[in-house]
Amino acid sequence: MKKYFFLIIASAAVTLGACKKSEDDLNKPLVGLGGDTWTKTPLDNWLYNTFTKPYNLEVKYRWDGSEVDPSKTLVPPDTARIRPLMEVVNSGWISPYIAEKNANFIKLYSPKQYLLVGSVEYNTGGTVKLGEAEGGFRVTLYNVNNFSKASRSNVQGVLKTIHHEFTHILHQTIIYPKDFPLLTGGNYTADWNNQPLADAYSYGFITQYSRAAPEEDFAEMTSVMLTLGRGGYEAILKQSGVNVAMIRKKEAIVVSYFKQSWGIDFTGLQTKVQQDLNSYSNPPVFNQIGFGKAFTSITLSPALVGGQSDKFNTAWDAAKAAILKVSAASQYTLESINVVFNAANTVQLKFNFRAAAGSSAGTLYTGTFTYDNVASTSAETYTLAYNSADANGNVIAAAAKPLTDFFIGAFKTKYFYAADAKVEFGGLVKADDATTFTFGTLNL
Amino acid sequence: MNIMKKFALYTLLAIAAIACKKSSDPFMEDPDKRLIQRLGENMQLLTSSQYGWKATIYPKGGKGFYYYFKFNNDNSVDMLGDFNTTTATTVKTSTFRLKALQWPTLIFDTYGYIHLPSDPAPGVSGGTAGAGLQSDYQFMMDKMVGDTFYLIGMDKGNLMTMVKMTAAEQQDVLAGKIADRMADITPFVAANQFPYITFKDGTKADAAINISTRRIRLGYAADANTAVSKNRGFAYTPYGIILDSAFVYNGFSIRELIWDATKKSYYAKNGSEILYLQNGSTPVVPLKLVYGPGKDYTAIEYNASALKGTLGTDFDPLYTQCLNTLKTNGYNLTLIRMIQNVDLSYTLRFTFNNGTTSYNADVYYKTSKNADGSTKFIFDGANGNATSFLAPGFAGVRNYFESNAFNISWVANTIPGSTLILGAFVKSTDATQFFYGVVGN
Repeated sequence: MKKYFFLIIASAAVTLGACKKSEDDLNKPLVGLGGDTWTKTPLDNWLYNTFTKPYNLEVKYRWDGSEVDPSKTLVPPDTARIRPLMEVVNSGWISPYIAEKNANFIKLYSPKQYLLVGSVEYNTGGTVKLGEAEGGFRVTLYNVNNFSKASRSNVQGVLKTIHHEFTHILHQTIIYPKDFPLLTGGNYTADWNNQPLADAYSYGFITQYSRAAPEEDFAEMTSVMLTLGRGGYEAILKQSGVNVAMIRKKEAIVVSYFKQSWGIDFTGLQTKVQQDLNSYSNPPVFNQIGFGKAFTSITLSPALVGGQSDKFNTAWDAAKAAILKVSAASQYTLESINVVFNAANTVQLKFNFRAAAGSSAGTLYTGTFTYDNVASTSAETYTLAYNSADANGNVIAAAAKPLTDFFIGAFKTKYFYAADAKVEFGGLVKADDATTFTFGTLNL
Repeated sequence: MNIMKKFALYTLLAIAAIACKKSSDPFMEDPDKRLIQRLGENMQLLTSSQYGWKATIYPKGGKGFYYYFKFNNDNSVDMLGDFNTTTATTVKTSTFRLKALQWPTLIFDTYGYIHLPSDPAPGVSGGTAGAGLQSDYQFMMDKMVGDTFYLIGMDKGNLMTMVKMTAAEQQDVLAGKIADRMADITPFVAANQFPYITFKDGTKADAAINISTRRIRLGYAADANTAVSKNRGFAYTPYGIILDSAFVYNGFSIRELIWDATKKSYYAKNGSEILYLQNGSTPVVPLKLVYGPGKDYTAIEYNASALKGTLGTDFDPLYTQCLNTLKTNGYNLTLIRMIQNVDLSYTLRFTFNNGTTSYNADVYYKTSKNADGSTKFIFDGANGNATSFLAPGFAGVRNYFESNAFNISWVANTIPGSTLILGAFVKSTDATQFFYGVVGN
């Protein structure tokens, strides 16, 4: 019995083992392996060289239904819109970070894929979706087919999404200070979209969406400050009913977080984003500089802020030299001028000059010249006419005339940047002569 | 041999028999290989058409569209289409690719004219927000039958058919002739309010064209009591319009209506037989066949301001009388409607307002048929408004309906400046006197 059993096993082993199966074909082509392929276009090459090669960032624009919500009707992007859009992404997001930090930073922390969709996505509630991020991996940008580089709100919308999502990646890498979520801890709500913006402001949130969660609050603070710029951000804070103290606390945390956690100068970053934005779309600067606006005065000091127009420099030098001669004993030295929008229809020029010699040496004097101001909202100009001077002003009035004359006429407001673009300056440009201008530090 | 030996032997034989079951080749060739081959063939097919393709698609959300595609080897595709005048005259280049999804699929993967009806923005597609006209831009490449390539929309399931173009056709499309045909139809519809076609046997069929919805309704009277009516979507070709499917009467098939620039009219061609659209003053299918619940029309509405005038029948003074009586009581009469209800009874409805609120005074009628086929209205009740203190105002109109017998019929709209389609309840005793108004629902 045992013998037969052994025989069966042995024989089975031999017979079955003999059956050498025809080997599997490992060179079989797999359909779709390695992704879709198509003939590369100049656009494909530009995207590859601008994003994929330097930053390992894929820009996917060719339609792939598996990447989007299949229950929604969406359309692919128009190729003509892609390059302008991605140029903005490059110049308004990547470049400022590289300038303030370095290229490795983007390579290390940027999302790995940008997915472009031509239309907006309609939500069931009737609202539309403009951007979306999934983890730190992918950012989806909708509405590409309506993108226009010249439309500021359009560009701001795109950049806000990108900066918002990138902030998430940053704080997921190094968490923001623990006191941030506690500032407005009781007012976060999942029902944020049904809560009025006025409520959000009054609690100390910069947007409605800020109320969703502390991390959204943090990302909103960052992206709003970066994309609206200092002017747009301060304009929000100037409105009534805004809990300014609370938002200032959050602002301070954001700024110190970028400095301490990442070694990034936030103001420099903000200025560079704004400089880029302003290079292709007009900023609402007239609404941000003036009486009752975000910035109410400009400090002019060519010694500290160079790059003034020739005509201003000539006037400044002439006035400074003349003021120096007003009193041989005191030797008044012109240091700066404050252009103050002190009322709806007046502007004051406050000349700050110091006695360099004599018994009052070191004393700072301010001579005030008052101008009548006509603001034209349609032309976005301020038209100044000299009115009067105060007592100190009268002392130097004759000497200061080259400068006081400079400010007579119609001016437009404008933002200016130094070569390092660390701070945003504001200034006045002659309405009829773009080459005649002066600018300085903006004050709230 | 003892039983054990037998057992061992059979076992060994069994093992030997089943042992070498070679993994058999798949029934057909390897599916992946076939798929790649199929994609290659389709790419070859698409790019092989030297003069491009003409395609039609009739989206679920309405309308119909005609496209010119020229597929190139570098995955670009040149497009023209009849979406609007710009798309019909300016070639746009976008891209396409073929992909193996659950079926070999053609994807127009960047924005071109084919995407316009799919655009979820209502301002772009003319459809609803979030859905557009429910069209497609990803297609399963189904089959080639004769000269026609059948593609089925992946998202909404619309059928798109493509046919290779000839050199002459391509030339015409590129010369902007689609836009020319789109421009021709508006004056045609304005000049021909009730176009119809006369078949060889004398039967006439209406061809009512609706430009804004891109629909044409073809209908004829099959016998004294039944109308055959087909609603077809259409798209513009360089030569006329093409319907979503053929309309066939007695062997004569109409798929395309070709524009004749000299005659300023359309014709249908079947073999050597050519039939032109003619113009009538009223539709050819009698109103009684298309009037009633579930049919094209259920109401006739007299609205003096919408009509822009009157036809001057004996009903007009009754309307004026009703209007004036209501006015002295502080109400404005806006319209009088005669509605056929689902149960085939009728409602005579006076609609009026006091400047803020609108009211209906309803009078209900049953009907009886007279020997001559005319209809008599028998009073069957009224609502509160109709029997209120305003009742004397309605009396004249009520009396008109209650003391006469009527036939329902089209009437020619001779009111200057009005293009509304008018129907009437004509007095059985005098064909020139009738209650009339706009046919509607």
